[in-house]
Order: sequence, then C-alpha cells, then structure tokens
Amino acid sequence: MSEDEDIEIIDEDAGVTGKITKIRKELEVCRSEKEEYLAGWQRAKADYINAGRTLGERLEDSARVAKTGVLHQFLEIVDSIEQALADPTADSQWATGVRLTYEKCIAMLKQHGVEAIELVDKTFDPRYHEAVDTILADKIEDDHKIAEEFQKGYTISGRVLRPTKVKVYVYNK
Amino acid sequence: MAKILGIDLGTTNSAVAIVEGGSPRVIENKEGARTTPSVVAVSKANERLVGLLAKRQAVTNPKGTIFSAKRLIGRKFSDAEVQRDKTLLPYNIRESANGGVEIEIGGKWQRPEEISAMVLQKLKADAEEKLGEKITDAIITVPAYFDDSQRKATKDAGEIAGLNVKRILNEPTAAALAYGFNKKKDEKIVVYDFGGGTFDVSVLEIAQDTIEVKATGGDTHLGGDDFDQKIIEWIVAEYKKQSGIDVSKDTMALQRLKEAAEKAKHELSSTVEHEVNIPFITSDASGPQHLLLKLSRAKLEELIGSYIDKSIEITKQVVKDAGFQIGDINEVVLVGGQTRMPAIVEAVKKLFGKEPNKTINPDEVVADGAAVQAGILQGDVKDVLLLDVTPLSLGLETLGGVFTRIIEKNTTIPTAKTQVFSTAADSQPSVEVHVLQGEREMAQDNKTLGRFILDGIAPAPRGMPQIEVSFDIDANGILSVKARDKGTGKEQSVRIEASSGLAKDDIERMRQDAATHAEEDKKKRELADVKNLADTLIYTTDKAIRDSGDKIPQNIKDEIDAKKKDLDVALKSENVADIKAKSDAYSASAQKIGEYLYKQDAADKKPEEPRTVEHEEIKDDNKDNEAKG
Repeated sequence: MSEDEDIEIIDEDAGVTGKITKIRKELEVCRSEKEEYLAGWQRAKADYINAGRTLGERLEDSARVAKTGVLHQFLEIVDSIEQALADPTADSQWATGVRLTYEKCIAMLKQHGVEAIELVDKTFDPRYHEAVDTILADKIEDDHKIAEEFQKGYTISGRVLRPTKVKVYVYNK
Repeated sequence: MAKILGIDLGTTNSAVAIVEGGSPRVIENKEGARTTPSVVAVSKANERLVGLLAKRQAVTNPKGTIFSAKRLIGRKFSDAEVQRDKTLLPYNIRESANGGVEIEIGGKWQRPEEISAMVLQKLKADAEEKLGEKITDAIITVPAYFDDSQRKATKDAGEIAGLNVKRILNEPTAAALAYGFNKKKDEKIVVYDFGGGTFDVSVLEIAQDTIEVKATGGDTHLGGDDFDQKIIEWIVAEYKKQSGIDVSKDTMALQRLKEAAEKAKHELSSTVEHEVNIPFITSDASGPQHLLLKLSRAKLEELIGSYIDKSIEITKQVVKDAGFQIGDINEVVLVGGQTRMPAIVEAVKKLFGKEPNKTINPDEVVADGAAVQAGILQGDVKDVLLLDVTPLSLGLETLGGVFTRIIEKNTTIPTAKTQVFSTAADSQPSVEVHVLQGEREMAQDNKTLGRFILDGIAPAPRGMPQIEVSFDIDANGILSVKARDKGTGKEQSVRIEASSGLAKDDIERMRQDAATHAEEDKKKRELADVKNLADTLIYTTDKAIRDSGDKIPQNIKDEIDAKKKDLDVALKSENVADIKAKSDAYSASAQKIGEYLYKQDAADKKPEEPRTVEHEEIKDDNKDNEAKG
C-alpha cells in the first residue's frame, strides 16, 4: 500500500478522540509492521553472513568429497595390482616391475593422506572393517576375530575411505 | 528460532535436511555420508551400533542386526505383511501383549518404534554436531499408505528419540513440496518412487493450499536390490559360459562382483555399454583368471525390464484408482535412486507423454521436501520476504550494436551493478545510453526500455574517458540507470518503472526468441566483435604512425596502407573469416612499426612497448565496453 492510500479524510464531526484512536491504531500497525520488516531484514542479513562463513567450509567439503571419490575408484586398480603380485607363477623380472608400479601407487595415495588399515590384533571392529562372511570358531576366544582379509581397507586423513572386507570367526556354542 | 529438522526415515536409508536462507540443504552424517542406513545392532559386547557401522557387522550378527523396522512399525503382528516379512527377516519378532510386534535385539524385546528411535537419535545427534546447535523439533516423513497406527508409532519413535515431532508428512507430498508444486493450483501430480527395497506410487491433487493424496499403490518388495541381484546372476552365468569357472561360491570373487554390478548399473545410466573388468578374479591350475564382459544398456534393460513393466502397470492402476485419466496428470516426480536409470525415465515418460521432474537428487528429494515444510512452519518462507528475480537480462547497447548485459536474467532483486565504459571516437563529446531488456545478442533485437544522452565529456582520445554506468533495481522492479563521467562528475539518469512489467507470456516469448535465434545471433555478435577489433587495430596503428611521424620508413607505411585497404574491403563484405584473416595480416604489418622502432632506438632510450601487448590490452578493454558514440 502506498503512503497516499493510507491517508483518509476524516469526517470533521467524528471529533478529535476518534481521530486520535484511529491514528493510534495505525501507529500500532506501523510499529508491528516495522518490527516484522526489521526482523526479516536482520534474518536475511544474518543468513547472508552465515552463508558466507559456511561457504568456505562447504567448498572445502566438496573438494574433499571429489578427491575422496577419485581416490576410492583408484583403490580398485591398486587391488588388481595386488592380485597380480600375489600370482606365484609370474616371471620375477616382470613381477619386480609390477611391484615398483604398486609402490608408486601406494606412495601417491600416501601423499594424499591415504593409508592402509592394518589388522593389528585381528579383532573385528566395524569402524574399520566390513564383515562379508563368517566362519564358525572352535574356541570362544576366537569369537569376532578376523579369519581372513578379502580386500584391504584404507583411511584418508584418519577417516575410513574404504573398510577392510573380512571373514569373521563366530562362536556359536 | 531453532531449526526444525526434515527427516526422511526410510526403509533402507534415511536422510536429514534443514532450510537455510529459504532453500533446503541435506546434512551429512558423522561418517560424511548424505544418507544413513536405517540399521541398528547391539554387539555381543552390548554396544549399540547405528547406521553404517551396524550394517558393516550385519553378517556376523544376523540376529542382533535390525533393518527394515519400518516394515513392522505400527502394524499388528497378525497383519499379512508382517507374517510375510517374518519369514524373510533374519532376526526374531513376536507378538506383543497388545497384538503389535516386538523385535529381539541384544537379548531384549523392543517395539519397532524403539528401533526407529535409535536411528532418529543418531540422525539428530549427527545433525546437532554438524550444525553446532541443539535440535528439538522435527518433521518426519512416512509413506502415503501408512495408517493412523503406523503414523502414531512413527511419531512415538520421534518422541522417544527426544524430538518434538511437529508433523508427520507424506513422502510423496514432501517430494512435491521440494519441487515447489504446492504453489501451483489445481494440478494433479504423480510421484513415482523406486527405492532400494520398495516401490511406491502416489497420485496427488493440489487445491487451494492443500495437497491431497488421491490414491497410492506399489510393491513393498520390489527395488533396486533386485536389479543388482539380476546383474550379478547374469555376470556369473556369462563368465561360467565363457571360462567354465563358477565364481558363485567364491566369497571374495562375489564381493568384487557385487561392486562391479553396482558400478555397471550406475555407468549404464550415462553410457550405452559398460565393460565389466575384474582382473585376477580367481586362479586355477592354468594360472590367474580374469573376468572381462561387455554389458550393454539394452541387455541390462532386458534383465530388469519385467520389474519396470510391473511398476508401470501399478502406476496405471493407481492413476485409475484416483479417478483420473493418464492425460489428466500435470506433473510427474521421480524419487529413489533407481529412477536414475534411463530405462525407468523413458518408461515413465512414455506412459505420461511428458518429461518427469528429476532435477533434485532422487535420494534426497523427500528429506528436502520435509525441510521445506519445516521452513514453512518456522516462518523462514514468509510472503513479505519473498524476493523476486529479474525475468530477463538488462543491459545497454555498445559499439557495433552489441547488447552488453549488466544484470543477468534470474538475478534476485533488489540489486545494483556498475560497469565502466568509454568513448568510441577521439574527442567524442557525448555518449548515448540505450537501456535494453532481453536475451538476444544484438541490441536491435531486444526491447528498448529507455535512452538518454550524457554530454559535456571533455575532449579526450577514444577509450580515455571513464563513464560509470550503474543499474539499480529496487524490490518493486523499478530500474534506475545512471551514467556518470568520472572526469567531469557530470551525470544523467533515467528511471524505468516497467522493467518487470512484462506479462508472463511476453517473457516466455522473448526467451523462446533468444533460443530460436541463438545460432544466428552468435554469428551477428561474432561479426560485431571482429569488426570492433579491426576498428581498434586501425585506430591504434594510425595513432602509432601519427605519433612516430617520419621515423617510420615509407616502405612499412606503404605496406600497412595496402593491408588497411584490404581490411577496409573485408569490413564491407561482412565476412567474419575474411575480416579475421585481413585483420591478422594488417596486424602483422603494423607490428613492423614497433619492431623497426625498437631496433632503431638507441640504448639510452627507454624501449617502446611491443605492439602486440598494446593490441591485447585494447582488445580486452574496448571490445565490449565502449558505449555507442
């Protein structure tokens, strides 16, 4: 509503009291509108400042996500090289070449903060390992111990990039 | 006001979003993922695990790992659905005292809502950590077919998790809200939701401020996991045919196959053929064995075609149940990760004869919609604060009849932009500011909003005066354009009331026009650009010759003159390639001035800047930014 439309000619007979009441009411509306607008303005400004502050974090986040995705895919290739090295029939000269290539890959991963998850005490820990199969244990002490590593796991800057895929002993007696 | 979380509590995965600055944003969990598996487990050490960690240990603890609690929540034990699931679920369930369902976990019997509460608790805690503030309120989504008891149980789950559940929202309604369809009037919308384990389809009708679910249907045991299984089976069978080796019993090989199958499914969403390549998959007496197969999109579609057909049949039935014809449907929304498959998009498109809405991540659209609803409740989206956008670009005419945009289309208003321009001729006394609106490349094709002349510019070589032009649109769409000569301080302005006063149809027509003429406009623009460049080249060369007087040998001058004549002819021909070629030839000759002067200059004199540098600078400064003289 424009200012012109707000102005209304008041009947002279209505008296001063009526006029004052009307103006007071209008003032009240104006005040509440003012507060609403101010609150909206403050909120918008705060949103803008906050968005600016979190933008940096989010950009970092998306860079990290992008990098993580590529490195995760790269692990698949590293797996294959590992499988190749495990082949006992390979020619030794050739195997040395593959091993050197493998070492380059691991060094590159390390440069990006990627490190293999070592199976220290062989206890299954879902924070680092993913169970894909189980095997019955004879002794209760073996319950939830790792029986076999299927696929090596990796962390990136301390966070799990890919869990180690393992076979786990389960004691069911 | 504290934030209200929008939560998509899914059968397989859950997601959380909030509204920030009026738009929804999905919040990552502690593990850095945008979705969290709806899985809960109690380990033998009596430790509670939720989400990814629970999923990772599932095979070691099948009886203590609870997933799909959503299939049981709020149901009677005697329900046919529960009886069916009982045979499929690896954990124990029993009838509770009041006829409901109880699940055994960690040696205790708990209600499904208590299990869902554990998932919700993790979602809440992770969101609080990420946002750095306490969350108390939430909106949780449920399938449209959930009855009162299932809704009440979901609400209870929220309360157990310490959340004040502001609303239980239908999943398809949330999807429609995420696309902003609540603002439409009298529309009929189909939400086609193909998730990992369930398929749901709903028909919504939007009336004044309400979204009504007219009909729902689906298959509670049809999802993407079935697709993956089919692909794995195919690879195993093909490999056996090819090599005689059966890898179906080899856990390690199967793991790699599973990953390969998922990858193939994703890849085939964007390519027509995928190579399944698993080197060293196994080994036998003859040495290491490799798996190499080609899976085409057509083959994949053949493998899973029956599932898609089934979903389409269900969809037809649901539309019929809603009392509508297929042709009545105005919009179709795709939800769930499987809808990324081109075959599904095509099937849906074929059925409804229109492109389905799929721009929002289908894994996140429900959580986004819940957050939009939260935003409406918490008052983030108030009418008084709704900001408009400029529907078309605004700008002015520059040298060669080019339309130079100052404010791009779809910029949120109020806004202001300033750019500095210059003159196109020596001692130019005035500039004309021709204000235009539109998307075409050339000024003459756009709509004139106003024009004015700024005069009194002090005599100066072209490109020297600095004319600052500012565009300012206020919240009501009123555009003020001001031009100011920075040298003399003289200014002139115009106020245009009708900058956003165009009818919707006109705006659409102008946008269409731009799209239709894009190619032809690009050519015109290119011609204007090369002409401007040639013009600048001639100007600077002439100036160099004037400045250096007789120092330049006549043969160079003659050569330049000849090339200039060629360029003049080319300019008249309006042939872009010809102008470019002649400009290059002219430029090469013009460079000889610099070369010669540089060689001739005595060592004690400061060498003149090479021509090419000056040329480049002028190209950048003057190409677009010279106000029309």
